[in-house]
Amino acid sequence: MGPRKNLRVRVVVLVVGCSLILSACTNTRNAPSLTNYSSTVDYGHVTSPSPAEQRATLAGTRAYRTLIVTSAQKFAAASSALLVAAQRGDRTAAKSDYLRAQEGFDAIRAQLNAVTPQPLSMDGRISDFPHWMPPAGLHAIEEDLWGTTGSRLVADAHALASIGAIMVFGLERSIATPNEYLTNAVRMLSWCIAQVIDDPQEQFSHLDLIDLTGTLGAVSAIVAGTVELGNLVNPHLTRTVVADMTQVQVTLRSLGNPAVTTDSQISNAQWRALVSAIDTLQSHLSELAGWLWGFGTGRTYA
Amino acid sequence: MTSYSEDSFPKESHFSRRGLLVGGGLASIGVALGIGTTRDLSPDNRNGVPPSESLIPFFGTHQAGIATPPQNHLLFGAFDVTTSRGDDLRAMLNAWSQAAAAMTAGQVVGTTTNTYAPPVDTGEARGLPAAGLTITIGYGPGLFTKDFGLTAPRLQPLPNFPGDNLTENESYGDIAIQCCADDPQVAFHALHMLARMGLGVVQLRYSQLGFGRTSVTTASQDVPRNLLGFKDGIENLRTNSARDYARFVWIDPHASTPRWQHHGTTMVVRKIRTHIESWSSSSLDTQEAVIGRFKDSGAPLSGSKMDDAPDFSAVDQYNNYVIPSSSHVRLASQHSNGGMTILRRGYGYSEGISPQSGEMLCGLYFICFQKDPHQFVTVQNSLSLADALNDYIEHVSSAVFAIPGGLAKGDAWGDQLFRS
Ligand code: HEM
Repeated sequence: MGPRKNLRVRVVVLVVGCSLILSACTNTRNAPSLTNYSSTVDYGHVTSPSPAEQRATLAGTRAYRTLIVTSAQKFAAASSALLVAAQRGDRTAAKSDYLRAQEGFDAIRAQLNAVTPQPLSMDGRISDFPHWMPPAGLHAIEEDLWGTTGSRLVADAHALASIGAIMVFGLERSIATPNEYLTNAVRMLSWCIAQVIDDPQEQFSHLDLIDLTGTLGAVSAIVAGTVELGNLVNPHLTRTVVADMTQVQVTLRSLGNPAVTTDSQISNAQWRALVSAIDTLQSHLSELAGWLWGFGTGRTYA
Repeated sequence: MTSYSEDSFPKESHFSRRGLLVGGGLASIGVALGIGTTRDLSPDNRNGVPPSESLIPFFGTHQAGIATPPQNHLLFGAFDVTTSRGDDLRAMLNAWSQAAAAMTAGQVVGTTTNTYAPPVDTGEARGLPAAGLTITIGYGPGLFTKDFGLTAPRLQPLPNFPGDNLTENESYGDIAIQCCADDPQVAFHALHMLARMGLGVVQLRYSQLGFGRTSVTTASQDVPRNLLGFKDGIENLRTNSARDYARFVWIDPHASTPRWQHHGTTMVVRKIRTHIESWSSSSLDTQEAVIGRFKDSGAPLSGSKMDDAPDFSAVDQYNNYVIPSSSHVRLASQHSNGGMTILRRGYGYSEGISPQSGEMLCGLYFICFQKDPHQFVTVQNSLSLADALNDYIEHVSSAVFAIPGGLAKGDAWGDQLFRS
């Protein structure tokens, strides 16, 4: 491995290592703001949650942790398989492993981001890297597989696989309150529009539906894990959120098979329908996040 | 090719646009009497809103439109130079500065004596006061690669920053014209006039309308809110600190740069699209953590009043920074950039919707001034990698220009540039 590759692996491991250490001692939110900014939404104030609310809070926090851990495991397994396929020279298998790894990562991105600035070395687009930093991570591999840098594939896959295991370990303790994980979900929705639909992620394969499927699938799991508590606190808003989520999933599925449908095969009208569904969900979900503020401490090992 | 002559363009007219309303009345009588004279257009009804009467001197040590208290509207234009003749460019720039002096004084450009030809002044600002109009000129790196024998040694194109998604035909440019006014029609007229006068020598590459200033440069001006709803321009260089301006903005008259750069500065322009729908759906807590200030009061998260100095070392009970490490103000501050800073003077913009997503195409037309573009590069390097605001914004255009010093009365932009 040349010096450039060594640097690449070191940068990746350093960034991920730091972020995971931080996430292990996670308390991702800032202290409640002291602002007197007046809002027209009258959020509930939780003083003493009922036993049912406590149970539902714990269930939601557990469901979120399960989502993060299983997604990290999926990411780790897919990146190991990707390395094996790359070493075998099997590009077809490597491509499908890449898509699985990307989808797994999409589910954990917001959790990682909540504790450390964007993990550039994991999922930064080639154009996002400053000139002094060698590209690394998923999109370096995407370029190796669909672009012109094929000779770097094994080294790049090696770098990615070497962090998969640490990732699972570090994310084991992803304990978040309902407000925290819903805030992550809201950010994931923003990311879908700003960083995928308006400004594609997959600049070489053009399979951006993969990112949307991974991210929106995770948001869907988060919403499902919130329904029990949401129904106790604001059933009407929760029903609206669930209906919005269904609309997002239906619209997403209508765009085609994410593993083969490229961006240009999707019309502007189709993109806009999806954006509109995501925007609606995002606005209601953030309201629900406000309602669920105060439940859980985020410090219970669920 | 027809060569450009200064004489094809008007000298100072000394007719106030307002005065001309009266004159116009007389003129029409003149026309009715069959006496050939200046034609005037009827005044525009401003719906009862009195536009600013303020008049900002065009001539001075520094160009206006930099330290000047920001007006409410912007029309920015960048031009490509299409001529290969230095004399034409010089003559056009000379004519531009004369027209700019007239327009910023609230006067019409030239006099139209031949009614069978188009009027010299395009007319859309007739009846309007100067509205605090400033017209600021700048020169892009491309101008100095052309065969005019001009140099601007320290002016380099900006590097690409992580996350940049630049549109070529809204970026760069050989000459910048920044028109700021309290009436958008006055700003429009200024750029329109210059573009028209430049035909055959320059061509407009792009232009951008901005509204809602996002900065202040004096202690007396109110701090405005940007499109994200946050007070913007709180921590900006104020003119009452001449030392700060000397240190960070104005190029020293003894600097080893061409003379036209003395008392000048450099300007960076970045069109930054904001994903406003996502921003508005994020919780107040998130928004405040992203910026590092309270939305309502503008106070830093470590304080309670807008003017409180941010305490970047303050931590909460969990030992987290009160002003988060990825917050915009922390990363943009002098504290994080080795004491480096810039003078911000940007505007909001909004222009239809994205054909792809149907979301609003709006954001910040970020303009900043600094002695050396390296100051901006330092701050932007720190922001582009880690700013939490990056989740909601996207830089879609970029340009850098050298801003010449101000003109003494009787001097002109072309002579100033070509003399050095
Ligand atoms: C859409 C993009 C941006 C928005 C909405 C934005 C908004 C803000 C806000 C609300 C503040 C706090 C109030 C204040 O001190 O003025 C601020 C501060 C600041 N921003 Fe930005 N900004 C943007 C882009 C940029 C860029 C591109 C730069 C420079 C590269 C920059 C440099 C600064 C600086 C130097 C400060 C003062 C920091 C301090 O010392 O406290 N901003 N910005």
